[in-house]
Amino acid sequence: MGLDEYKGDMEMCCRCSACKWVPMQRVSGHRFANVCPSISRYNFHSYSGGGRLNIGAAMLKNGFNYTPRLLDIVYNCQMCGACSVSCNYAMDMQVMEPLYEFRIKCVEDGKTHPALDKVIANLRKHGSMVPAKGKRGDWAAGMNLKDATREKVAVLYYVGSLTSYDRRMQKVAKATAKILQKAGVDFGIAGDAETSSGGRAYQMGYKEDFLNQARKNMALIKQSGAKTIVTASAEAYHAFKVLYDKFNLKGSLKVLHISEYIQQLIKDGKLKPRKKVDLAVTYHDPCHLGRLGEPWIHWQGKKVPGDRFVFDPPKVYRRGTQGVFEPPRDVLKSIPGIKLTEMNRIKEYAWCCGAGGGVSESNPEFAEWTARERIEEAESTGAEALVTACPWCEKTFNAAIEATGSHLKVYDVVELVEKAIE
Amino acid sequence: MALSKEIYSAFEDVVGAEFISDDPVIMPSYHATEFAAIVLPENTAQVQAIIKLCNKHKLPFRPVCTGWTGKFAKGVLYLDLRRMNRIVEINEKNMYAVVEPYVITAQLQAELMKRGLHLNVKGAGSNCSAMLRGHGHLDQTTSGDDRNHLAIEWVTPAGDIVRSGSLGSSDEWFCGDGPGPSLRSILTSAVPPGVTPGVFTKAAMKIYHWPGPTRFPIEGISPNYSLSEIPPNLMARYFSFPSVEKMWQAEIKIGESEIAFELMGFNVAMVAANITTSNEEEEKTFKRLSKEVQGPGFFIILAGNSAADFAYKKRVLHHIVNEAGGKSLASLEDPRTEGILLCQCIRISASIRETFRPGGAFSSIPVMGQRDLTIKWAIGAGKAKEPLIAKGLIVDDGGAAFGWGVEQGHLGKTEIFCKFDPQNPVAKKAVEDWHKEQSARAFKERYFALLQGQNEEIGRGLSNYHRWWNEIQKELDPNRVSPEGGALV
Amino acid sequence: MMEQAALASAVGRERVSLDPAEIDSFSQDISFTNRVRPASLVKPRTAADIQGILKFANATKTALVPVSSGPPHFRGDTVPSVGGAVIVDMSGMKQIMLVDRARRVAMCEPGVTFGELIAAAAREGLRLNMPLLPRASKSVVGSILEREPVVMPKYQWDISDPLACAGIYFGTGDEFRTGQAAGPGTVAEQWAVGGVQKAPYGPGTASWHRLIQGAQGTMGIVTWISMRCEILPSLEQPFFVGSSSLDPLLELSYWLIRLRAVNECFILNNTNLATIFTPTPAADDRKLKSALPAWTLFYTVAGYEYFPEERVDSQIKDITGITQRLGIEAVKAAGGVSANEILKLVQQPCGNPYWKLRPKGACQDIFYLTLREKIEEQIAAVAQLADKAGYAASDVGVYIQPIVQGTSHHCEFNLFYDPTNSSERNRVKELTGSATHSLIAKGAFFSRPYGESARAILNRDAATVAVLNTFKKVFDPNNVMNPGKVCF
Repeated sequence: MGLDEYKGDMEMCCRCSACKWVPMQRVSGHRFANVCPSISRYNFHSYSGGGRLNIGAAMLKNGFNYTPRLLDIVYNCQMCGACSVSCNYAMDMQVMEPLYEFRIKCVEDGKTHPALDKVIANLRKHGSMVPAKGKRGDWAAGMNLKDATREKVAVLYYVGSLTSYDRRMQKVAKATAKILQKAGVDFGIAGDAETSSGGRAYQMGYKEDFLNQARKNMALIKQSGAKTIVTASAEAYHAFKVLYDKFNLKGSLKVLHISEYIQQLIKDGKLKPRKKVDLAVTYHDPCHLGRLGEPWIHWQGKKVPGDRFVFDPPKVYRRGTQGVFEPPRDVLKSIPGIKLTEMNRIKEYAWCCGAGGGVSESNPEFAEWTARERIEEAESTGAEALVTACPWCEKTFNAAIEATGSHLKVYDVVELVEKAIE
Repeated sequence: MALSKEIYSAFEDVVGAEFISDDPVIMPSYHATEFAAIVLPENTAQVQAIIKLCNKHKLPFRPVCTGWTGKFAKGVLYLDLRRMNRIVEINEKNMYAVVEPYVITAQLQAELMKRGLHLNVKGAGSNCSAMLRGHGHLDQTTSGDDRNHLAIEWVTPAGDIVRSGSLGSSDEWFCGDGPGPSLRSILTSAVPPGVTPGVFTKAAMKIYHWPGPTRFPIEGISPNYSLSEIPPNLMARYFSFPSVEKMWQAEIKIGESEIAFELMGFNVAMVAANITTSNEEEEKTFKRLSKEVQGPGFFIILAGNSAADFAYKKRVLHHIVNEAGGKSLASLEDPRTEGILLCQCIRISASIRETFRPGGAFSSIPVMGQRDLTIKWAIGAGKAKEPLIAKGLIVDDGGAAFGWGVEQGHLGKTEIFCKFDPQNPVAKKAVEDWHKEQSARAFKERYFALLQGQNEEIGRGLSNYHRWWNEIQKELDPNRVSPEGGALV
Repeated sequence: MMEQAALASAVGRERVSLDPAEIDSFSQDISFTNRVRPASLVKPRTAADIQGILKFANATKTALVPVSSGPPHFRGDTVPSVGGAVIVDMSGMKQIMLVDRARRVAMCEPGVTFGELIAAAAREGLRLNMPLLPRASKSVVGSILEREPVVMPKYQWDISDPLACAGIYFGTGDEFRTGQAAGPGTVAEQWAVGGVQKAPYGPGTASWHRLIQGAQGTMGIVTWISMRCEILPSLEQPFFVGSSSLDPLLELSYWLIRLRAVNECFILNNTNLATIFTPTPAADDRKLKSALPAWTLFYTVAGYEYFPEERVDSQIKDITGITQRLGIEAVKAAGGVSANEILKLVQQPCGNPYWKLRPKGACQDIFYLTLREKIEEQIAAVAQLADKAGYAASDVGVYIQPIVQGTSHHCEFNLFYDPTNSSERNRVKELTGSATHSLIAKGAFFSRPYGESARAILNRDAATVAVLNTFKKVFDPNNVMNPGKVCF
């Protein structure tokens, strides 16, 4: 792998600008038609998915010129995948892969962002993508959860750095654990031994660090005996389900997002959300659960010589179609009293919360700008609350709400399920 | 070609540091051209200030909207109009909408459809500017070319703000013509083919009645969008005919009977492209559809204003098609496929899948005008493709051309293209030769003149229009800062 | 005298009129334009004649005033604004060059009248989109070049319609053909391969035909135009709707046009409708006028080749839904007037005497374009000014024509007066001036500026005038073409 593997894809970009917008037939008005936070904020075409590919192709050809502007373009991107979905409605070409590879190359060439270096230094030291205050497993105190490092478990509940360490987000971990307990699932946690999935590190371009984390996690999982890993973190979900598979590390591990699991548990009668939760909500699709949560497709082949950009065997593109969109919605609909109204930009063409790609750390102002856009969209539905299925989304939205003084509440799906099953 | 610090600062003073860049790193994303700088004005006043500076420093500029394709000279100042993206007004009672350059068609269309209205969608796609001059699938009922513009706010190459028609006289957008002779004689286009010098900063566009739903009932996840149901009083079909003559007979009768909402003379290669989600699927589907058609054909959408109106239109359609020996493409009678095309051809206007997805390049000869005449020429151009297809130099699309009626068949558009591998020098030369020969034949045999840049021979053959145009340009653009050439939006 | 001789030698003696009365007849017209006697009158017949005239004019800096229609003239644009002018009277150029049913196009010289062309088109199953009741002597070319409003807004996609292409000799003497007619090849060569002169845009970037329309002969001399035609319906059902107020009629006409449900569609007040149905000046239209509603919307539903009855029935059904919603009723006859009679009238030019002259012998028109929602206020303003000027508001004729598929409205006031009565004449002249100013203030757009108000109109838009002057400089650098008209 490397950027030059995607030379053909980058050259395929015809500059149609589809990558800036939700798919055309989904444009429902003047407002909320943009899908790429980066170009929406920074306006130069270079910040769009297509613009990045144009630059990548040129640099492969003419050499890499790391100006401050280039690095500004590279790092002000949430790697949210929206450009890829919009592009791949019509085009057969890779969009996300060259974007990842460009980042990776920047890191390899030492062209990193200091804020992200700091995050990775912390990762290397503490196995966490957030400041590690206290012990990673402290959130579970008093919950009597199985320690997967000592006992074999059928299901490993992977918590994630943010919900482990961040006091304000620990409620998500607790709610998830309670739900699994209520459903009688045989699960455990790695507690203090848990380490970052590496997903966010990969988005930032630190491929080696990601691979280190991946190997550590797979060793831990193997040791726990778990055949299934469930997580409430969309980032971790993406890491285990997609990235680990991409690098042939996943094996036969079954990866579920908590919303998928809850959906199944409700169907099996093991969870009964009975208590009414009177709330008008709208649902935000996390990028790494939705469009980017689509399973990895292993493909090997060659381009067929000739004018067409076709391959032998035919290349099947990940276009965002198989992401996790319905389970969180089904779960919400099964809670009595919840009234769900969709936003304009949803599912595979959802607007990013702003947190991905290292932007939370490298450019918090841009992350907040992105989140504010989403808050406005959520408010336009008349909902009282914005529900999501990713703690990074929740954290980012809360910060934007505080900044704007909005009355909107933010919940994770598990928080509402927890209310309904008590 | 970098601007001097002093000149750069002058532009920076107008738009702010955040909205100008001459970093070479961004140029590959701007048509791989070394522009003097990219500048993003926010409003008409900034555009005017920029142009005045361009005149002062004799710096050529080009305004661009979404900028799909483009050919520009080095050293030009690129006005990226992305920040000028407001819908200024939608006036239902007087059937026009006023937009800034970077409102894309999809945005305006979505707003209009909520109100039972719509606009012309250019063939370039609804991802392009709503103020584009151009032609598209909906021309049958929504006109085309420069005939959808009403009043225009224009910054001249000299940096004067001119408001055409009623806008200049009474601050209203409804008319772009007068007093006296019309400035729309030269305010024909923000973008090629043919470019009015200066910048269109706002334009009023004609809008039309939309009898369909306020939103299409789309279901599915990209790229597999379909309609959960065909909305009432809408129908899409494809008909093939035993010959071009029969197809034309049906096409013109349909125009005269005013029943079609959209009539698009697709060939099945284009149908296949639009209903499939990958190149491989397209190839398979094209082979299948090719067996189902008897010859050239068209895609048609009927839209009834009422159930009675819809019933009438269907009855007439079937009668006309039968008279011409037409045959319905069974695949399109499947509601799923019908729904895909219905939505695609109204909301998107299909372009990208048809043209760019396979990769490679395509060389096109498009011509607006008298449809039956251009069909006649296109038959010959299509025959001339056959040897290239036989040698494997161009994609086999059956040698077909495509086109459609405009304004219920009063005018029309015909286009024929060759798709080829630009890395194959033999193919590239063959296609270039084909293009040259067919263009020359069109001129020599008096069909039309393909205008590509200033050409003395062609100009002389067309009332020396090029000399008059140059004279006007000299007056309007004394410092020659608004050159020809630009981007398709 | 020397110039007369030079002119005669340029075009041929037989083309030059020496009849003083004939020359004098072009010194003035029915408008209030100042009387200016032309020096000569030429009657060209061929392109060579036109070229000769232009060569002469440029060499001698002589003003040329092109005229297509026969008298009487109304707008002042055929009266010279400067002394020593030559009237170029093309009303004798009467060739109908082409009527093509398949491509729905006709082509003719400037002297062809509506009556002549309608008959030729009808023989091919075609019809013209024509103005309301043009006078018998009105030139089709003249009308279309003036951008006169047409009665079938559905078929007017662009304000330049029905104009397709034009053949013109610019003020420089250079020949130019607009649109598809430009080439390649001559017109005859284009015909030979099956081309007709239909597509209006180009050649190149510009849409040159738009430069010639509305120019009042200030850019050059047009020697022919082509125009798009429509198909003659096989079935027509005319209706009219009367109302004491205008608003429901404007709303109905809006929907009729938006749904493309009707062909002819226009509104007249009772004064005008009565006048149109009053055949002679002597006849008394008061009884008829009092029997008519204040406002009448006229429209026609039509069927063509395929199942015309079904088409007409379904459209009438849809229209009835609208009229019921608006609380108005479409009828076939009322107040002594039938819709069929109106239809018959409006599909032909006006018989003699011209309807606008019937009430009192002269008429001054005030017309402009406007937004639908401003019309009532504008009408009220004119009524008030009329009453104030001692011209009974109830005697003002009003004609409202939606144009360009409903994107704007042509609004016209017809002030009838006795030209032999100087106080009436002065009253109307002053009222015209005051009404024009008042209407401008109320959002009227005088897109076709004629006469004394022209300067005031054009002075409002200096930026446009600057560009128009650019055109003038290029196409008529010696300002020989109708100097003093528009802003030139």
